[in-house]
Amino acid sequence: MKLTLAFDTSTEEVATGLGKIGTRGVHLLGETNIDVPRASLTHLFPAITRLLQSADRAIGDVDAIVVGRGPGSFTGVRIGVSAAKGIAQGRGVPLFGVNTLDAVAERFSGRQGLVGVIGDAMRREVYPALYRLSGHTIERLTGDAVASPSVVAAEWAALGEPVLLSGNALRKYADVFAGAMGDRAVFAPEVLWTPTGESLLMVAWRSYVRDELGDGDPGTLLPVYTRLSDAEEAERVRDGSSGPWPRSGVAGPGPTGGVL
Amino acid sequence: MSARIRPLAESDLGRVVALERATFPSPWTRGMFIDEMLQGSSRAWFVADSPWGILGYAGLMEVEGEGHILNLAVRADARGQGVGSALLAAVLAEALRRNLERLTLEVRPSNAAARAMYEAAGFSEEGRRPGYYADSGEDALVMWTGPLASEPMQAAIARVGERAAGIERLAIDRDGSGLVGSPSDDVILAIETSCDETAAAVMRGGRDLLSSVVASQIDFHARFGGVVPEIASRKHVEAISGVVDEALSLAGIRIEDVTALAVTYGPGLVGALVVGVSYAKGLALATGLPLVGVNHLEGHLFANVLAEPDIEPPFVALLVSGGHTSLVHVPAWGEYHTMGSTLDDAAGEAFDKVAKALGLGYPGGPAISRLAAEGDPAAIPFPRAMINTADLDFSLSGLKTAVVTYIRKEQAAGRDLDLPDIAASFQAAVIDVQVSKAVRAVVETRARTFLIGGGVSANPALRAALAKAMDARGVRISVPPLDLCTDNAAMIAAAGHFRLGRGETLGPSAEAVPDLRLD
Repeated sequence: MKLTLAFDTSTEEVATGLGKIGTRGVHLLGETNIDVPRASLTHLFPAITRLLQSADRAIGDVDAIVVGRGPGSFTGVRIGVSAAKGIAQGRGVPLFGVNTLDAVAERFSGRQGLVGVIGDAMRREVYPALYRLSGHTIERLTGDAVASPSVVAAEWAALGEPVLLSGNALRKYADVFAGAMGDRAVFAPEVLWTPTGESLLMVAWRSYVRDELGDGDPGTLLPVYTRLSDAEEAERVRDGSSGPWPRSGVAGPGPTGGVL
Repeated sequence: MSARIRPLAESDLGRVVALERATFPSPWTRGMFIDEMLQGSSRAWFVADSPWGILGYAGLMEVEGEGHILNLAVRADARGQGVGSALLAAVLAEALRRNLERLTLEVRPSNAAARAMYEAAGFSEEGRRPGYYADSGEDALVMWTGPLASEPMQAAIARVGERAAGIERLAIDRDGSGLVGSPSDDVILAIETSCDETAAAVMRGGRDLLSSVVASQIDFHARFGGVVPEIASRKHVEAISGVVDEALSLAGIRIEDVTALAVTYGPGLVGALVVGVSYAKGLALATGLPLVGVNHLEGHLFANVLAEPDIEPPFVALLVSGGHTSLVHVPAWGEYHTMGSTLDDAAGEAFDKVAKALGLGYPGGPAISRLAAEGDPAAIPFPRAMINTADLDFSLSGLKTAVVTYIRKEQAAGRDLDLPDIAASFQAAVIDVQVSKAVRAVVETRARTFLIGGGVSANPALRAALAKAMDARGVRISVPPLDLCTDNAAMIAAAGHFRLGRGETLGPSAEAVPDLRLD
């Protein structure tokens, strides 16, 4: 059983959790989830310190770090990922990334049917992700993307079955989904729109049992952006480029944005 | 405590280059030392290693059965105690082992201590190379030993060995060595991510640079004509772990050997700063080490101290870069009064914008500087904004507009643009104002020392104009070497050492402060 510290700063909330991950699941030792919009750099480390104290553990006891890679606020995601790299490198322990939207879907584990998570991508766009839940399994049906809320709402309306909706973009676009999906839009209560320390650890456990956690190298872990910088997006539009999306989130040094 | 002589290792390079810079007016670069190390068996380099860090080094080059002594340097605070003799003894022993016939070296006639040491070791003057030292125009004395196997030389070698025994009982007073701040032997890992360079450095005792790594992102920003903050932030996240690992590895230490952390927390691009601050807070939590927050501008001031350890306040500094243009009066370390600053564009920004208008690419500073060298600075009378105002503020956006307007007019009139003349005239307008305000600041404060720092201080014409103006007034001018002008973490480590000595550390809730002030 590995003692694992997990946190996410991709949304307005700072979520932290401490638990033991083993083959059969997560033994949660504690979690803190606080609503601190645009202030995660201020609150993340005090939250981790409180979490460790309340669980009567020290940072030196931790065997692995798990961090939410987004998608979410670019700066928010970078604060979490950078902090995680520092802790993992300083301790010499592995660092694993989980998808922030997966950690929101995880909160509905045990239900049946479709769950749609929409993260706030700012600029009138959302990060959509669709899941099929059955028993205690969660299957992700769509990849990472950024899209207009009305386009996502129309696609999900065409699925022909109810979708349980969650994610922090509902604060802005609940009416768009209600309008397009009618009765098929089922809104989760707002307290279930963000990841928690426990849900982050659960997503990590699912990857662990599937042997998909990755190599644990803090040097190579990167945020999930789904969009390039505005400067590079404008350049791609201008050049009519539609090449594959660079994994690093930066198109590259070439004059037309070579792909890494 | 004692020092020991051992062969130079790659992990010593940072310290050796720092010592080279502190010792010689025309120092060898890091690249030159790396070239030396690649020369294989024709070279032998030695360092004097001690608990106080690397105290000196010397190199031997074998040429057709004879030996040339390359650089031999001893740290200022360790001189007169046999370190130089111990290095010389190691070189002599190596020469004997290789059966070399004789040894030769060049030395400045004005360096009496070195000449005395070499004479005691059996060297004598056999000629001069006129004007050998480019910085002062001084001749070099060429000294040779007799045949190494001869009796007089064997006696001289024995004398060197006796002197070298001094390194068994060294006493080094680090307080007396021009050190700023705490005299402790802290090992600081510093991190800098305020703009578009991801940098990390390891430094011992605020001065002994063990490594300095800078990952530049220029290529990713170049086609946009300036730094794109979102790209900068993304590249920092991608690079930071590797840059820190490399800094530790080049310093030859592990994170467990570090005694404090330092990070730039402002001023700069907020999205870029938070990467370094968040990462550094993570390291601090994981290791339990104190974390010091450093003002990037204070770092630039300390870059000068790294190059010239005897720099001390009071002084006036001109900090001039892509993000800053200001004159700062420093009566004492930690006490800063900004006397004036730009009201609009920073000087580096003006260079970038004019370069973009001329189609010269990014960054604009080096491109304009190269072109300007071939042009006439008096060709076009661009405005010298605020040169006659009584304050010490700058304004550069009007100049940039004047240049762009000039270019359009010439093009509309169907005339070919004389790029060198435009570059030279623009650069002269920038420099005239910088020099005029700098002189006024020095006169107002009666400062006897003047520093420049920041990326634009790499501009050779600006350096020369300021040097001339300050020399004319008998004011000492300090210009850091090029790799310390631009953003780096060595300067953050030096400033961090100073702040650590004052017990100033960041708590777990510390923020990045993009508009952090110096005073």
